[in-house]
Amino acid sequence: MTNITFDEKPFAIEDGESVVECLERNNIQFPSSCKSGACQSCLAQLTSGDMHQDWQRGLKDTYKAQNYFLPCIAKPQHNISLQLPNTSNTASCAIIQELFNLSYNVIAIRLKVENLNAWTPGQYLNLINHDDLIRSYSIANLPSVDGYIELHIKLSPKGLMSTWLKTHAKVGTKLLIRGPAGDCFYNNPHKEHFNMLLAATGTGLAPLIAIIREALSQHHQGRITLLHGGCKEADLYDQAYLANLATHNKNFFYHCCVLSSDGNVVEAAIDKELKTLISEPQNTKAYICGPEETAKQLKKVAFLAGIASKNIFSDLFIQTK
Amino acid sequence: MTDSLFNRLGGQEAVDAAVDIFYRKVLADDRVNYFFEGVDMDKQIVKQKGFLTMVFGGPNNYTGKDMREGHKHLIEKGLNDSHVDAIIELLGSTLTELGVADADIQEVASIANSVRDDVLDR
Repeated sequence: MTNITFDEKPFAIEDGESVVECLERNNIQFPSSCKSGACQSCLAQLTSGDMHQDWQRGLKDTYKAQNYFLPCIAKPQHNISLQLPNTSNTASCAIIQELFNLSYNVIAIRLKVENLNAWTPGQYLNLINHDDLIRSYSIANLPSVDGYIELHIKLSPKGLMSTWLKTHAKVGTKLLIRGPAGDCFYNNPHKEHFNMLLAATGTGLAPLIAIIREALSQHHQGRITLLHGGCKEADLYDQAYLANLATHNKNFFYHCCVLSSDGNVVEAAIDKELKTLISEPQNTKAYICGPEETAKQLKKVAFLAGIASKNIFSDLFIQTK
Repeated sequence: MTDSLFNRLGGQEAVDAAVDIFYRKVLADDRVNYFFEGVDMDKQIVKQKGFLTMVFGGPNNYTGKDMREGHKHLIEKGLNDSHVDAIIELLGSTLTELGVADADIQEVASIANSVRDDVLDR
């Protein structure tokens, strides 16, 4: 007998039955729509048991790397366990070991955690304070190399978490973190040669710095081009660090642009500027982060310029209302 | 045994090959692209794959109800026959570009046409 385990309960699966069919037969509510592996409504994560490549048909490589699969076309022959995306309940303790300003409206916090390897550079995590306030932030560094997790937090006057961090958090403050999750990270197990194009506005830069550092640490072959945009020059940050990184790595190129320049930075809309940086779209992977509307537009620009949809990775920062 | 349309076109791999070409044409076409303003590309690509799988005669469980529900908000924006015609035209030029035979393109167009009334909620 083959069992599938969902929500800590085992269910016996019948011959020829898909995981979704089995769960529905047992009156379990599980998201699904097309039942043919096309719509991805049922997307889930395999937490134990052997993956079959047919179950991952049409998923992006970054999803495959995280053991995502489509339960509506999965007919397991051996026991498996699965969970819906981002439903992991395990939170880890994190202690603030450093806090500093990156710009007039961005602060960095560095968190001391156990198990640094679990935090993939570029993915996002949920930060939870002692009032149970939860917000998502991207991992901005290489935790296993640096010995801490760095997050970049935009201060917004109405933002509950950023206000709390600004006014209450200090070195030694305890928080919880949960995750990581998301599609935006460096995934190149076969050491392929491709160009990377990374674009962000505001603190969308955070995960991109992590991805660039990860790619460089794995000796990425191919050009790595970063474009950071803002409304005005003061919105840019980490410029000296990035310029220095470009000086020391001949395949890394750093560009920035702002809508209204004081003369030190290119004055251009980031979507127009991005278009000028795409040269070999068939051999390029794009990584796009930032506020929802801008990021959607940048993804569209990259796609229309010829970058394949499966090679566009993004995290949209959705503002909590 | 005659091969099914879906297999003749190349199955799931054909869907994967067609989806980017098709959706780029849609986004570049002023007759229809304003319906896709502000939508997230990743979600839309998945939906377009579902659509292509269906019109290629592949395995799907889409119902008339799904088609109606999925397009209601667009009817409020003015979705009508001319837009369905444009989509079927772009579908045809995508398949031509991929070297698909005219007879098969006709068959795909007729499947797409068969959901017209559901899409337009009549």
